[in-house]
Amino acid sequence: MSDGGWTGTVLRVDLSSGEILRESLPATWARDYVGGRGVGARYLWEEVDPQVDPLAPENRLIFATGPLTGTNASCGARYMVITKGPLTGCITTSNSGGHWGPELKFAGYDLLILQGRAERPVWLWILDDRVELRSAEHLWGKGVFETEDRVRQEVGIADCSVASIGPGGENLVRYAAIVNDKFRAAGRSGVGAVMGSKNLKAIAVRGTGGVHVADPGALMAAQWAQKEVLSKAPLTSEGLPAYGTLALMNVINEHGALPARNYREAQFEKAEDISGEELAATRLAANKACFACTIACGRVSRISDAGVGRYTLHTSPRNWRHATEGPEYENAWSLGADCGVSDLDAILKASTFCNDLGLDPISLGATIAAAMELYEKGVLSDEQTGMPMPFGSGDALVAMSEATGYRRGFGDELAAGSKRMGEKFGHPEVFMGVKGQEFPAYDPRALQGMGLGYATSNRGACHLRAYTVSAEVMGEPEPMDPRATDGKAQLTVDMQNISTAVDAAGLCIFLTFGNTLSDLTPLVAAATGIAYTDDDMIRAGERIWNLERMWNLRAGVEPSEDKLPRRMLEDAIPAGPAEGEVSHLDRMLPEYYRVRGWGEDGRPTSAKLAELGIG
Amino acid sequence: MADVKLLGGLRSKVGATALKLEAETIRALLDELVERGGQALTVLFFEDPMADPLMPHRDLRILVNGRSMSFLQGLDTPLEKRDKVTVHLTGTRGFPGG
Repeated sequence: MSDGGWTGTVLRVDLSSGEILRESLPATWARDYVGGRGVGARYLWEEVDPQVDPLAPENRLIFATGPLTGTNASCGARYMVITKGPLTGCITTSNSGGHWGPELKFAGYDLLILQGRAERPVWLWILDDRVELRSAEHLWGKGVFETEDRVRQEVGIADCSVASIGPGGENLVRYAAIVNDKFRAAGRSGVGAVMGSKNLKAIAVRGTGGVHVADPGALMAAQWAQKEVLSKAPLTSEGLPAYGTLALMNVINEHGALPARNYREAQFEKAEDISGEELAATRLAANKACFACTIACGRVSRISDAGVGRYTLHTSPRNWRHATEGPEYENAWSLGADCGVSDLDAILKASTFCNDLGLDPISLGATIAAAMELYEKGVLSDEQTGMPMPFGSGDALVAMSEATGYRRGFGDELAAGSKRMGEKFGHPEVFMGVKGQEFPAYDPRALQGMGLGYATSNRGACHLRAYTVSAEVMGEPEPMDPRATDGKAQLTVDMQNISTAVDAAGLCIFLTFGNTLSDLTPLVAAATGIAYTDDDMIRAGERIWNLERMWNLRAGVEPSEDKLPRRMLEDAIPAGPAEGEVSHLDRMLPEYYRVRGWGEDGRPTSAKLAELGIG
Repeated sequence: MADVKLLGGLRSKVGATALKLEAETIRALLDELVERGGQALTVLFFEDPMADPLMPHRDLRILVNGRSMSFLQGLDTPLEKRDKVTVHLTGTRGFPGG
């Protein structure tokens, strides 16, 4: 093992037998895969048959930190959940911030690997070397907020960090989330359902140690340099603290790239009503940061006076009246514009249900939007849905969000996700996503690069794997025409590799709104004592990406799944700045495979795998 | 008259959310905004307010009917009546973004 960054210890808990083991983290894996998403993927590669039923005891649920998690590097708060996702059948890597990841490191562990299935509901308590499984019979059925409060009471340590599932995970909603610190979540692809399938309600962790680093002086110098860049970049020093990621709502709408009403439109006429500017002016109580973050994009928001009574919240962070956290851009879009809803109070209420019941707001909102389309087409009746659910109904949004977590009434259909739901009702065309996972908040017809990124993402449609918006909208590192396809394959590959390396390091991807890889590599080198270069980090990202791809191929997810829905390819955007545009994925995908060094069939070649050391 | 929409922090700096402005080019439109919001805006709009010719600040983003001026004629992009102009500051520095 190296001199720092990693603890070198992996905690393994077999929920079937109750056995708790401590193992050494293989040093070569740590070096080659850096940590977090990379090392977790390597464990999954070694230990899990890709054909496994995601909800079977044989699937692993891996919580992985990176070498910078828990250090004083800005945004070093992240952990990644790696497993086979029940929404997609792909490897999934779902990321969260808050304080849980740092606490796991402080307790002395890089990774926590969970396997098997407990006979009865349990929760896991980690206090440094003391690790024990406790009965969770009294917690089963509770929401995340109450679960966290009761666990903290039970252990008598108010500032331990708790990651748990709500009824969504217990009820195996295919896009159930794992939520920590009440409002931070590993949200996508159904990691919460995997946790629920293992009868594991919560993992509370408190560590009293620190993170040993190889060269403290070099780390201090590198983190000061990193933070200076973040403090000077306008978005990370002003835009995100003031408006959060919701600053994007008006920007993307003005570009004509904001999907509305299940991607039938690419502008929302009421975007201003659900924008960061509106939230800041009418509902924002404060911003909030994760561990060691100097950006603080989190929102603490109040329901408006008009909304109290109609959308009352039963949580009051820091004792603010009728307050909650969020919304971020993605959930304001999915629960808002995509459903045609312009009532921020309804969005805040639905978003809070996502936190308390443990649901991914992107997939939830997109699935409700697909159901609203079916309702408006007359495919679904009031009798089936239990209430009118036209586009724009905040009441339907809120009611369906709650019903989905408990799988009550029509919520049981929504719990399957929009792909399965659409197929069941004979209308698969309402699914807007890739590999079973719903799109996020950027129309790939208006932003060509995003379409390629969605189609090739290893975990299904995702904006965090290759954020070409950076070049296509924000003009960094240089402006690229959003409607052009030239250069988008190279851009996508570069962004995928670098984003993967950032994930592996245990950092938040949002710092790349300010930092470049050259700001981050010295942090990893100083923490681990390994003289990583930028090229080494990019190569590690490429290695992880190819390993995930190979795992998916073995799971039966063929390259033919690198595709977009017909609506994106054939139905032109009806109005707005990008009117008439469709996605030209067919022009970009062959080039993408070539830039990746893969065969024309979309499979990594044996030469590429050998080059990356993937056997 | 172009319909001008301001986003984010520019609203408080200019003192407006939306305006109707007479301007033949983007360059002239920015002059109008400086006239309303004060000289301090010049450092946000231009890389070097004293330079000749003026270059747009790297953080300045202007859309004309949803199309970035980067793909039009930059500051010299002509404006027509009823054009919709969006002005905002991005300020990203990193790569790839998040």
